[in-house]
Amino acid sequence: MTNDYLIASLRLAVPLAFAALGGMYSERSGVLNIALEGMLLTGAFTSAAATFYTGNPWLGVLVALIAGGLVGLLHAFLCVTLYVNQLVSGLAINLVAAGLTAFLARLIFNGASTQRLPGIEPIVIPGLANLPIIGELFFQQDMLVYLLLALVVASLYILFHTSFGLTLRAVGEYPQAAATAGVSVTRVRYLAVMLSGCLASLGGAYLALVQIKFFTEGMSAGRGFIAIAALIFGRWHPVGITLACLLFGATEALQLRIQALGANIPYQFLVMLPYAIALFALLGLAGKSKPPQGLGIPYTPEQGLRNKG
Amino acid sequence: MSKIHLRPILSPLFAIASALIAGAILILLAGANPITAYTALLQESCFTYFGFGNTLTKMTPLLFTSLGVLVALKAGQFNIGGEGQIYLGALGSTLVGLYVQGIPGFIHIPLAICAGFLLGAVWGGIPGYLKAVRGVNEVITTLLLNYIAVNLVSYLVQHPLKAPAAPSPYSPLIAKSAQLPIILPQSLAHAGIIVALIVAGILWVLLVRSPLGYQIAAVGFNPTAARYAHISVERTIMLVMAVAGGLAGLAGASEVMGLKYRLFEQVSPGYGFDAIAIAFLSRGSIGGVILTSLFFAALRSGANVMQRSAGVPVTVVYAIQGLTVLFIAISLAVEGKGQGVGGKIS
Repeated sequence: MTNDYLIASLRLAVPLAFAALGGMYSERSGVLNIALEGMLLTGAFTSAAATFYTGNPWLGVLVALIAGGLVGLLHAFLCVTLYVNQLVSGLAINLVAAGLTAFLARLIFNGASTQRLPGIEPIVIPGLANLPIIGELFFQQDMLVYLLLALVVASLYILFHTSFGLTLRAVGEYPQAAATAGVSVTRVRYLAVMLSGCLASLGGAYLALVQIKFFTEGMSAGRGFIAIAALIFGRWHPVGITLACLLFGATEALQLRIQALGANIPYQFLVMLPYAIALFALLGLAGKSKPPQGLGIPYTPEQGLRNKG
Repeated sequence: MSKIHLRPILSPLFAIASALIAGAILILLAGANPITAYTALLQESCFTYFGFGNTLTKMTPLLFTSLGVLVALKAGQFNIGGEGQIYLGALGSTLVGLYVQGIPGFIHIPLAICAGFLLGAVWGGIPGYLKAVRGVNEVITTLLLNYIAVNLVSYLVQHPLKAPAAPSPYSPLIAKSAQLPIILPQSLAHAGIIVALIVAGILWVLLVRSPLGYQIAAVGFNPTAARYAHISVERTIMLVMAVAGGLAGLAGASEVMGLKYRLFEQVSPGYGFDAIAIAFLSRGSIGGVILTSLFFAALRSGANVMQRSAGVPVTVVYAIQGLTVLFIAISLAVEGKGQGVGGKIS
């Protein structure tokens, strides 16, 4: 029972964590990414559609990666090259993604809405899988979960122990200084935002291919925004983000359980809790939990920062 | 109209045309005739009695919320908490509609509207205060507060406010005296749209023709310079965010008082986010906000009929709406007016 609950928590946290880690790369480079919601939806739809046609979920994952990267490219083009307000660009992408995926889903899956997709099956790691509690939790999961765990560790290393990580953070904090040091702010931001799209899209693929095994309209259901909250709560740090996502996943799992039991417990306060905690954390940490300084500010080579407007 | 007057609307029109062309391609993909579909959409949303009423109904919350985003934007604040403020506003007017009884409509209606504004203003004022005094990013706080508001309302309609023996979570009906009158008989169009247009007018006077508007614009344009001009940046930010929340609160109030007559779980299907797009696309112009809200509302109200008569899924309208936002944002940026559209988020 407890074990089931932990597993449910982890599963609900996975799409959030992919999206939030994606958001981390984008925001660490100084580009606000409110488009995570649209990217999740893109990943869910493209992976489901590709799997529907080919019958191979791994092709679905690949297509989701590419599609997510393209959405990231669009966001980067709008924000970095055209200096469109990053909030507006993100919202526009969310709107387009919601509309297009819902529309195309009707065309593609029409009449097949009850058919389940061949999903991604769990891989049982021999030996370790039999360990009590953590065996089922960590060693009987599917490839995407293992990928996520690897991603957390890799992100930690990349961000703080490689020159790319240093460059990324420099571009997000002090773009002029990075540019003076010979870094192409534009290139780094493009790369980061595209990576962000790929990761968030993977989160969407997990939703469609592992959790639901189908695509339904608007199935991201605000998870992109929750991922942003987790990103803030986790202070733009890979470990913090992962823990925040696990907390959000755990409260969602608990809420679902309470609802399933039909108990007359007001679960809403439970759902609220992480957001309230995040809010108070921001207050308590005001000064400490600061977003990257260059976040949201378009960078132009001629004038350095564009502060007006 | 001279050339100078036409220029600002030329590129948005071009963008809307591009979005409609892209939409036409989607409609073709669905195996339908775009011209039939668009004709049905336009006819339904603008030229039939009931459909036009429906357009006005859908326009009301969009207009209120967009005005809220616009006011905040004038002072350089990004209010993405429209959703939460709508829910709180709906709650405020529901409480007055339920628990204040036995007073005539000409008192009850304004009272319920004020309650909606007030609770919305509280929900917008909190991030305003946190921004002004504690320096916490308002984009983040308004986003987080959305979830708290949505869940608060969800709790209230499932527990303390739930109508007795209701099959699904909603509150009892508010008093008749707190219900907004229908302005087009037999349609859904209620007086909320009139209130919204009056509020837009008041806002225009305040923002364009008053010292307060100048003060807000000064803070939005350059807070440091505003400080030198003895403008209290902190107070302006708090005021503007509270007003922004209040305006979005009015959207919730009008949904309850004019359309549903009760509080329910899904007060807003995302008006708070649509409103940000609308406010930006209108480049801070109140007239622009009215027109853009009307356009978005017409798309939505005509969509169902388009589905029935031309066999095109309703969702194509959402795609067109998103593409419109995307293309307008691009066209404004390409036009080199990036300063008004791009900007710092702090």
